[in-house]
Amino acid sequence: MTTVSAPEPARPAAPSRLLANLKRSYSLIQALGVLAILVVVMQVANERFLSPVNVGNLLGQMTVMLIVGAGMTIVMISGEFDVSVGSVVGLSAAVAGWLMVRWMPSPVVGEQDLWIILLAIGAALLVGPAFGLVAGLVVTKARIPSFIVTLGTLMMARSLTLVVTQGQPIPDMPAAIKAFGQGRWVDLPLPFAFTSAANSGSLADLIVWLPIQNILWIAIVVYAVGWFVLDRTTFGKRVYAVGSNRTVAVLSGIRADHIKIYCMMIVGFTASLAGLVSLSRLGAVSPNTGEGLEFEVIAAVVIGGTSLSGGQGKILRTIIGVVIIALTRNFLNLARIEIFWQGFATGTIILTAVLLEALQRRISARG
Amino acid sequence: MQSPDDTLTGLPRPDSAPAVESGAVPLLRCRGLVRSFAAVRALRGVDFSIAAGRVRGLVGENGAGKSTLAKVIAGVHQPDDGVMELDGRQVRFSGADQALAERIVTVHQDINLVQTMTVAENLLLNNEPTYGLGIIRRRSMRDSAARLLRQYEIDVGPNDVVGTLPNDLKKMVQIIKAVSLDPRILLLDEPTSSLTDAEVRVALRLIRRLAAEGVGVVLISHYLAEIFEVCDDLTVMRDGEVVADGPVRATTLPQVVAAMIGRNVETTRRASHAIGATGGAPLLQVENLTIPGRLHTINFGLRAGEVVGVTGLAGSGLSDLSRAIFGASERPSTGRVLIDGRPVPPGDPAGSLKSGIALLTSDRLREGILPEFTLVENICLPILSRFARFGGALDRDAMTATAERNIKRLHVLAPGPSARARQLSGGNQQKVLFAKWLETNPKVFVMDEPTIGIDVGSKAEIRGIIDEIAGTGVGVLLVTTELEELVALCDRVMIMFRGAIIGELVGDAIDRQSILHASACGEIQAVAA
Repeated sequence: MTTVSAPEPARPAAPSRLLANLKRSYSLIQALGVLAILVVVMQVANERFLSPVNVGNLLGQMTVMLIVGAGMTIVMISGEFDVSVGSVVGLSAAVAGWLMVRWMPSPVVGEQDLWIILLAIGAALLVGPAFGLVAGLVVTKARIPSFIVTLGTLMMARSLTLVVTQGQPIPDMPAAIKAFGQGRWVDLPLPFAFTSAANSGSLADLIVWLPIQNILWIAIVVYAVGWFVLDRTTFGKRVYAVGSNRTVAVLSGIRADHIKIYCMMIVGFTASLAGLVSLSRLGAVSPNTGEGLEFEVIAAVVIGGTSLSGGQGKILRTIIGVVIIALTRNFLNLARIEIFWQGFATGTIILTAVLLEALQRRISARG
Repeated sequence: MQSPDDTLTGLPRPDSAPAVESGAVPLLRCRGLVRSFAAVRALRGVDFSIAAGRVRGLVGENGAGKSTLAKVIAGVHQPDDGVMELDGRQVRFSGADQALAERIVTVHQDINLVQTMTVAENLLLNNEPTYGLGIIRRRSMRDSAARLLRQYEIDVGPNDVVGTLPNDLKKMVQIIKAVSLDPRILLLDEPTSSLTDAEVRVALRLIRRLAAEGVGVVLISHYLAEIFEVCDDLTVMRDGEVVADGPVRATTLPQVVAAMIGRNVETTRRASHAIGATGGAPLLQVENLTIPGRLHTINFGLRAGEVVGVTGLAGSGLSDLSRAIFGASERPSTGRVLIDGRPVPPGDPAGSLKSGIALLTSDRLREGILPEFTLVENICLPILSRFARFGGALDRDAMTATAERNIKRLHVLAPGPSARARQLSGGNQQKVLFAKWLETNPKVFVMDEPTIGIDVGSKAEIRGIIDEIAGTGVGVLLVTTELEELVALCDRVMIMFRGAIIGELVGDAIDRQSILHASACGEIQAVAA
């Protein structure tokens, strides 16, 4: 009998760092590419598209989706979903609207005591976290998929919205609220006016003043805080760890269940905030505020490159996803395509994004 | 429960001599640890001690209780009986975090890292330096990770994503992560099974260095050469008991192998059914089968009626081999598989089945049985088209008849053919799976651990079934780590070591000692005079 020593199994060559970085940024490149194509198409179709006024308007229309998208990104990185956000947006708006207008009606339409307004805002901001707490407890303690649990809370919140509003719109929000929600108090200087700068030859003319709707500042703050929390704090690291590999996280001493519950409460808070934004922007509450929002938001988060299975994603990229969805809708409007086609277009985008994500996963698995 | 041949090891008995040399105070001392899982007694009164600055090897066959002991010490499992003393004071851990607080750190066998995070984030997970309020000091985090990597000579950057690293580097990162927790006791469960030779050297050096710094190290390993190289003390376990314990230099490798196996039960070998002359064309031919990093150019043949065993340590590539032959490996394989000289379509389980290969997977619950399906449905699943009648309707009577025939033939204990599979014991479920694959009329039957997790009686019955199958001219490839089974059933046994077949034992040369030695050392022992 012969003695054979074991040969060394071939070790796969380490991929070059550049290639690895490219693969990591694949979803970003892809999303930015789609966005660039959309912008070019829109600008060609309508030359006023990139005008400051139109851009400001578009951003204002996106604000609700942007704010909820930030929370949804966090909860999806932790490995859970929340499909109740649309209903929670509606219920928060309804609670705030009812307290401001119906609870203690003021004699003058459009005026209300400051303390009532503040109380209404505070109460509305508790609605989402409360729903998130309940859903989070059920998800983690009873081990039921969050998709199913939040499907339940979705119906509960929508039903409560109808109860509060009695199925009718609540108009005539306080004037101060409307003034904030519809105002543009601060302009944002952006160095994008290349043509006028070229004409005058002065660098000062490069600046274009973009009128920013007040509500957009709220979204900007939400994203700044969200980015900081996810990227720079221990809580953020724990969210990624729990979503990526729950066992490892638990063995490292992380209370995975608590993290998930916090995430569900955070997405609830952003939904409540979005409800208030919607109320102040429209100056009224409609009983179907936020209907269907959940799937647009999840689509935007996925298009922004957040993994459906958790553990991976960047909150700032969700902005790209939201803009892509909103622009598509805007494009269909401008192109005078029947409104009934909107769902079809959004659905196509979602499917494409998910397929591209699967493709990307296969590419990186091969590495 | 002590058999006379235990004295073979030349080690003092655990009860007749102190486990640690006099003068050294043990960090941890366990006495009479008992732990059962359902009816299985995994630990039956184990005495064990760990001294500061010494490396203790813990060896034994699969199921001897090594990992259970490590998990009890690490607080993952709680002992049913017995005491643990840390620095002379009695301790009782209700969870892994309590053991961790006493700086008892475990490196688990599986790679326990967050694949999507960077090396630095993993090394300092839940231990990040902060400014307060949970705000991370990123530079300080990166610097301390880089310092650790430099200190232990690991060639990865702190910002590399763990998922992109090869397995051996992941393992090194995992070991360093444990070391960075500043352990007093470090438990290493098979740390080297996924490492290349060069990495093993680094890991062993690291282990010695930690011991020199005063850490008490426990090294669980099947690679006996490593144990002899790095350990000061050695504990041999068998069937949940410590059968030998003492300093390594007092013993030799063959003595340790003998202690692991215990009394040599005389196993009756079955008569060979192999058909055709040795020079005849084999039924199954495997040519240069390779999965990069997992399987290394596998070549062998299998004749009709032959039972060929494949064995090796966990992580040596056994499951990869059986799956690759069936065209169902996770990663694509290269090379060819031929049945009767005709190549089998690669990477296509349905094609393999059609060519006459059947695969019994080792994970019965996840990849074998459908617990909510009836026995009829389980057995007839791969051959449904045979029962399709006019318009695609299934001939249910014929299906039931097929199931009944198999239930009778294989002596499946079941309420009836329409019972659900979950109502059956593990052994009977396994027989149902045998029936399922036999009904496909395979020419070659690949079995991955066919008797894992089933009771002794069923094991004997399944061995009988395997013998019967070979008797009908089917070529059987028996992939298993059960030495008993290899000795009882196989005409030849091929030994795998780190992804390659390093040699084979034929006929009467097949015995437990030779198999264990070859698996653990990576070479076939020269035949003793």
